[in-house]
Amino acid sequence: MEQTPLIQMQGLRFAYGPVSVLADLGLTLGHGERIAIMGRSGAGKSTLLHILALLQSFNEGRFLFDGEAVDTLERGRKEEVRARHIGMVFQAHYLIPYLTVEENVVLACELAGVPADPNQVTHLLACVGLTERGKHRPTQLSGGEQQRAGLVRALAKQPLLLLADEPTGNLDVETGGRVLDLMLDPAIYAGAVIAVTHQPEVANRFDRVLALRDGRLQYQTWEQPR
Amino acid sequence: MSGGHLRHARRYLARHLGQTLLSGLGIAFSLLLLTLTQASQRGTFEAVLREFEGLGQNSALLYMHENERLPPRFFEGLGRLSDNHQWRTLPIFESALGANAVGQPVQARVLFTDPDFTAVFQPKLAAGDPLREEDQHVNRAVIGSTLAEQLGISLATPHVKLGGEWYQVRGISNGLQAGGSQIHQFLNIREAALVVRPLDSLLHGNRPLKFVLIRTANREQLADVGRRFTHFLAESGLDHLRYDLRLPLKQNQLTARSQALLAAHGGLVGAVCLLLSCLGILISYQLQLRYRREEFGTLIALGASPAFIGKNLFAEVLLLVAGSGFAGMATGIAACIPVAWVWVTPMSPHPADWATSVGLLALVALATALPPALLARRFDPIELMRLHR
Repeated sequence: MEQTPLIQMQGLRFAYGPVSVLADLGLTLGHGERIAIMGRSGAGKSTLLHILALLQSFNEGRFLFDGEAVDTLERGRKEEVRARHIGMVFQAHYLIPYLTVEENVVLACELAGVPADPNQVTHLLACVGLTERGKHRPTQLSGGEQQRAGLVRALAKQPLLLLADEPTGNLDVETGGRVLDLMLDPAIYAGAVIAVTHQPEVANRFDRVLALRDGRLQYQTWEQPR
Repeated sequence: MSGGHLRHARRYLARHLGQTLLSGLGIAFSLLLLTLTQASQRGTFEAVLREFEGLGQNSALLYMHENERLPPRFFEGLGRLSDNHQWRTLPIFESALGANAVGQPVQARVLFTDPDFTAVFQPKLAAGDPLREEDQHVNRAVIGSTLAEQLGISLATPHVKLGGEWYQVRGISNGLQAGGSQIHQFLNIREAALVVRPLDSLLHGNRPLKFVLIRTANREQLADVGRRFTHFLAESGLDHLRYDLRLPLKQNQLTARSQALLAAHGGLVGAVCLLLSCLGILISYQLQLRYRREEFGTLIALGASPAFIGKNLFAEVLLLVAGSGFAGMATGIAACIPVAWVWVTPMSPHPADWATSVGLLALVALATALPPALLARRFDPIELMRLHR
């Protein structure tokens, strides 16, 4: 039997008052599929991420998350789905500053209603090279370490969908590449990924690259970076 | 609210120690002050009750509506009246011994804080008769330095010859000193002094007299006081004076009045301090709602709801108020001993007062914790997430 797609969006419309942001947007994403979304500033990428994160309602259209119609979900159920099945990483790490790396990870698991498995946490920290950093606070870590810690926090609950907003935007090429390797390593995380990025070299690492133009998602083609 | 919220709150507070201490300082100080006030008020109350023990069963309180000094013939007549009817009379002067009532305890202490003094000079006789047990409470003097000087009493000569008889003056600095202010409250006078009978030697002072507390040998005589006092004033040519006769002075009313004052004073001090502290915490958390938006946005991204954030904030304020409040109370209870020692004032920490404080603290905690929690519930998750750009 064919598996239900994780994300199904059809005819999605969203407008801020008279300003149309998303118009007739469609997107289908299978479990474990990794896509990158590119677009100019103001194209509606963040709005789309917020809708995908079940934070933002939309005006029209249909959005199924793992087979559930999002527009009919109650607020509490949306929060539950977001906490359990959606992980998010940002351009900046946004770890809770007064918690250690491990506590940040455990908090995410608690919010997801998933018992934090210490072995799993240790394994993930080892995978991203932060074995010795679990007891450290974010301020004691470098930028790259913070981003990797943020990634571990997002992945510890094994979400169905990982949303990444410019995940390497604040990192140098080498560190960014390493974070990307970890994010896309099936041994670490086998779920679906939607990443928003401005960087073609980052987008190229994904299964599909889509461009958000005029409120719609289109397959992206561009000149290969030199 | 779950254990998770409390754990998160505890971590936040513990890892922002400076901010926590600063925010909690006001509450802690308020509870310290409240605990000390309660202990002091209760100590005073108990000291006064000890002082007035037995008084009131066979007593009449006469309030003279006279602002001018009374002529010597009044005191002379009062002395005769008392003697004729076997009353024992304690005049309570308005101005002579203001030390206790007007916050100048130093004047009173000079005479009474010497332990040797109180150990040696115990009243044994009154008007030549052995003191009855109840009289041992009555026949003592509370006098300040002014009157002591006028009567020629000092540490070197702690005797006073009154009505041809030598009286020994005993003072208990704690109870009497604090009792002065309490008497003032009971009797609604600004300045007061209690002086042993007989009155004759006091007449020369020609002081304004506000109260005459008359103790009689038995209850029947009390009924006669009003009538005889009217005659007395007429005979003395003082019938222009008005007077109130309160008969008898009831101990339970005295107690009720004191307890009401105790609650009112303690409550007032606590309310003012706690109000200011609450205001401080509310302002602090109002600011935190702004500068912690990034953290709240992160929590939203992790799947928390605004209600969850509200509960976290509620737990934080609750812990902050409760922790600092209990710390303040504990310090206050511990401070009772040195305060009583240094300021020579009666302190009586009591579980009933602590329970009141805990109740007040609970109300304060709720009142302070609810506003930030409710405001957090109104957060717009999208607005918070926009910070994550």
